[in-house]
Amino acid sequence: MWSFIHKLGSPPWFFRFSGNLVAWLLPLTVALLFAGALWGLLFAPPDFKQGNSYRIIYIHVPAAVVALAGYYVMALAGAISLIWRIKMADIAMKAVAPVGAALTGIALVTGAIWGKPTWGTWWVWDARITSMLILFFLYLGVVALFEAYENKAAAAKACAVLSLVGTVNIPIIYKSVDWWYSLHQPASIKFTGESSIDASMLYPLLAMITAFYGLFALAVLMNMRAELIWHHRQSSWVRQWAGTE
Amino acid sequence: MYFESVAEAIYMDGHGVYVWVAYAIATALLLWLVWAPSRQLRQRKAWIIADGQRRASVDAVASAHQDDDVVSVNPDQMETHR
Repeated sequence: MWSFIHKLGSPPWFFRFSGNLVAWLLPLTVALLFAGALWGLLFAPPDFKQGNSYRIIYIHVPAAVVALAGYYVMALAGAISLIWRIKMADIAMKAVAPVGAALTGIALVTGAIWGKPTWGTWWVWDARITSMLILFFLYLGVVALFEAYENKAAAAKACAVLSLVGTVNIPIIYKSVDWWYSLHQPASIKFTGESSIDASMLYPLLAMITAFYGLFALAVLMNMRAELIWHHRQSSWVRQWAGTE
Repeated sequence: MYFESVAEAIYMDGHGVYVWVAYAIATALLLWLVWAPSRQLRQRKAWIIADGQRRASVDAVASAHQDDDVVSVNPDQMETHR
């Protein structure tokens, strides 16, 4: 286990390993996304209150769940970068930010579209939606901070601090529907206690959540690979990979 | 399939426009998430290859000049000077 973690810090090893992982992950994720989306769109029954508009749940919830988990991944990379100053952690942090921003964007936009037929409005400034918007800006802040600094080490340090400070927002998002009055419905899937969603709707949702985790991993790995070869473009292992040595 | 026909699946009792637009936006963003880094990797690989070729040609010119220098101090000329 420790030797595996140690190897993750080696750019040439990580580049080879992630290349193999991407080759496996890409077809599996695409197949699962396709199956989960078809299942949710065409085969799951409609909701007894919301009718067919609830089918947006199969992209809205997975995007939101993975956007929240992704923030913890970015903050963990930030902590590793601050404590041990491992360059790979900086690259991971930089790779997660745009993916997390896109997923949060999907959750916000699909939530707004779902809100119109369900609540009669595209947007309300309630706790859940506002804290998700803050998450979106935190991700964009990390993306912008990385580009704002000439000195990459200083950029990574600032981004690590921002990522860690922003983790305060994650439990607020999660508990916002319990702590404040909100139009937003409470969580349908519960880790403790029985879920409030029927199995015929739950299984496609779990398939889509798994697919979104796969897609998150895929996009982050691909971003890291693009970043790694640029960081090490003068290294012999990169030139060998490109076929110039 | 839950729906009786394709038209019914598209219409979804009036909710189709919301559902399909949401899926279209999400699909576009998810495709971008995978397409953008793969395009960046391709572009960067092309840059590294071009840079390698440029270096190789610079090295070739430099070694040709080195050969010229060797000719200018050839032993015959050195004999004449003596």
